[in-house]
Amino acid sequence: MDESELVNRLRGLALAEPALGIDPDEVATRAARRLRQRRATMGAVVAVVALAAAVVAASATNLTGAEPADIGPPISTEFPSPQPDPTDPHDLSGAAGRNRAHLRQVIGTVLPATQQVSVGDFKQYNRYDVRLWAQLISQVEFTDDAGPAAFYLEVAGPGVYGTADTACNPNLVGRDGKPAVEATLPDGKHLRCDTIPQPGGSTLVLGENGEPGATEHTLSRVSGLYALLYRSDGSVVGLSNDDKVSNEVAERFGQPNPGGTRSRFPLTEQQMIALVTDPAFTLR
Amino acid sequence: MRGEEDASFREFARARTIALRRTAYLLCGDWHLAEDLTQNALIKLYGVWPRMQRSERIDNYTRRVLLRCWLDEQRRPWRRRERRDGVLPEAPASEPGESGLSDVLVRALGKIPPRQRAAVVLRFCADLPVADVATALGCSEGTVKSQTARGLDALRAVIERWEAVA
Repeated sequence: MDESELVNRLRGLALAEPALGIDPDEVATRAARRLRQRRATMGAVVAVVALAAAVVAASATNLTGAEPADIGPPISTEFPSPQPDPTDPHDLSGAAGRNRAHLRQVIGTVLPATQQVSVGDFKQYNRYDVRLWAQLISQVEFTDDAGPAAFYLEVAGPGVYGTADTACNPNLVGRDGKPAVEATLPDGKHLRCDTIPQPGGSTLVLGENGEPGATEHTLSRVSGLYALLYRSDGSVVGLSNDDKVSNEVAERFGQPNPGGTRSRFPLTEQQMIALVTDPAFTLR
Repeated sequence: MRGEEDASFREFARARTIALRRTAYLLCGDWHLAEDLTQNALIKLYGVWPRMQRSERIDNYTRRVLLRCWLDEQRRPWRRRERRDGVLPEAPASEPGESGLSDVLVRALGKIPPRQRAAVVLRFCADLPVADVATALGCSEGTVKSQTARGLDALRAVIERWEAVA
């Protein structure tokens, strides 16, 4: 295919577009509400700063020997945290804060041999997606004797994932309704995916992630492990644990040669299981 | 935002949503993610609408916001995991030949580096002049030309590799 033929194909690209799944008016309404919330938060910050400035000014006046000013009760100068919006059923900021606080509490026990552990906010990336809004993800970074590392912990509500009984199904339906071709590793094997029933009706899925190979259906190596706990209420706690180190993470830990691959995965299987089976990670 | 500004934003959103989603789809190759990106771009645009609405460059600015949303998405630590329940997202029916060709091109676009993909999509699929692509990408026209050329080379290489394997 020469360049002009490729350009012509791109220009004439015919897409079979599905029906629009979003309502532009609803998006505008959400945008307006978000703007109002942001302005309210900014107003609160300005008020706190103004009060703090008044207190400092009053103290300074006192030091110069002037009449003591009535400065009233002590005030908090803490940055106001985003308040959950009770009118928005998709607002998970309360659950995000609780999950982060819990993860910070338990991480030292689960990963005792690590240093400089940083637990990121639980972010709600798909807030405006009607199917995937109930999903919070946190990035945890640390360093150990194998160098910098990161893993991702996810808490998802019912409906975001499918069910555990199909989690390892090799006969997934692929593109255009054709059976999916399961990618193979150089030794001819497929990626591991084990389903392990747990007490109380939940199911643990342990699997491997692979790095893409030279062709669409090949993998060059196993690059990570993941764990998914399918709870009986339909919610899922997931953890992804790859040996790749991004440039950002490496630079944060002062590595001279950013990026690259660790000699082992950041978490062991037992550590992954300990985190995903922790019942405190919920969206409630 | 005043009432008339809100109304003009809604009118703009209604008129552009489908085109924005199409561009987003060509960038990311996933209709659901394309809708997310479109919504995020519109929400960001809403905040600056009072001062941007009368700008002649509002369409370019909107594309730029969309691109930024998508590039941010590329940097996300944990990209959307494919649903593991074996259920396909709804796929519209179409002519097999046409769909197959488009599918190959869209999938091949997904294999080339993000900024080259953005340059190719805006330049050829959206049929924008080089200057508008440069504005949307926030770079020089020379950079657009080089990114486009490299993107086409990479795209051709991907398609030829697949054809050789098939």
